[in-house]
Amino acid sequence: MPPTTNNAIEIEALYRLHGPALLLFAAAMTGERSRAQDALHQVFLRLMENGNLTEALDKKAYLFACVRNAVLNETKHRQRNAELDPDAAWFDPPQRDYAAELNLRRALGALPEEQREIIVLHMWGELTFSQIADLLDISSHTAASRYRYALNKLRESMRAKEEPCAKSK
Amino acid sequence: MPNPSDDPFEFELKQFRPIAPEPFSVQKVSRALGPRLARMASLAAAAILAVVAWLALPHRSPPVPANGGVALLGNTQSLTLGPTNARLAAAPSYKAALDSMAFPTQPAPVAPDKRSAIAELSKERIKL
Repeated sequence: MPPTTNNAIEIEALYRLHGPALLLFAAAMTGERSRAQDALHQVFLRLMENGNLTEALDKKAYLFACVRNAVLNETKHRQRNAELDPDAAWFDPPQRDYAAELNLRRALGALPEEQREIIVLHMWGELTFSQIADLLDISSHTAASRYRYALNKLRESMRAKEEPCAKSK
Repeated sequence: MPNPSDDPFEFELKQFRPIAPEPFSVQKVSRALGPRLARMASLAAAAILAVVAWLALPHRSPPVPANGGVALLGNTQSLTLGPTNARLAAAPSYKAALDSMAFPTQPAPVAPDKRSAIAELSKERIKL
C-alpha cells in the first residue's frame, strides 16, 4: 500500500523525534555509525513504501523493533560483536567533552550486547522496562535487573578510565 | 528531560545527547521512487505511441489470387526470390507455379524516334 501524504508526514515526524535514539541503538548494536545509519534509513524507506505504521499500537517501540530486526538481518553473516569505530561519534557530549564521549562509547562497547541494548533503549530511547520486555521477548523483571547490572558496570568502567586521566593531569 | 531524582550517574549519562541521523525526507523517498515511476511512464507512453502509429499506417490486404491461388506476374513486377518462393508455396502444383511466373511476351514499346537494338541486330547477317 503506497503511503498517504499524512502518513508520510507522520513518518517524517517520527524520524525527527526518535531518529537520534534509534541511530544510537543501531550503532550500539553494529558498532559502526554508517551501518547504523543504513539500517535506520532502510527501516524508514520501507515504512514510506509500505505505509503500514498505522497498524502499530506503540509506534516508538515498533520503530525500535524494526531497527533491531534490520540490524540483526544485516549482521546475520557478520561477526555479532563488531569492533567500535573510533572515528564516528555517537553522542553530542556536554561542554564538547569529546574525551568523555569516547570514554562512554568505549564503556558501552565493552558491555555484553544484551546489556548494551537495554541501556540504550531505556536511557536514551526512553522505553519503559515493559516496552523493552516486549521488544526483546524477556520479562520486565529481567529487563530491569539487566539494566541495573549494566549501569553499574558502565559506572565502574567509566570511572576506571577517568581516574588515570585525572591522575595524569 | 532527565529526572533530577534519578541516580546522579544516570543523570550524567543523559547529558550525552545521541547525534541526529542524516536527514530523511519525503522528497528523498520521492527521488528514490522517481526514476522507477518515470521509467514506467515512459514505457507506457512508448507502447501507446506504437499502437497509434500502427493504427495510422495504411494496411494493404494481401493480394487475392484470381486463378486458383496463382497470380500472374504483371509487367512491372520483378521476379525476385521472395515472391517466387511465395508463389511456389501457394500454388497447387509446381507447373502451376511456373505458369504463373510466365514472363511477358509483349516487348516494351519503343519510342518512335528510337530504334530497338534487338531489331537492328536481327537485321544483320552473320557471315560464318
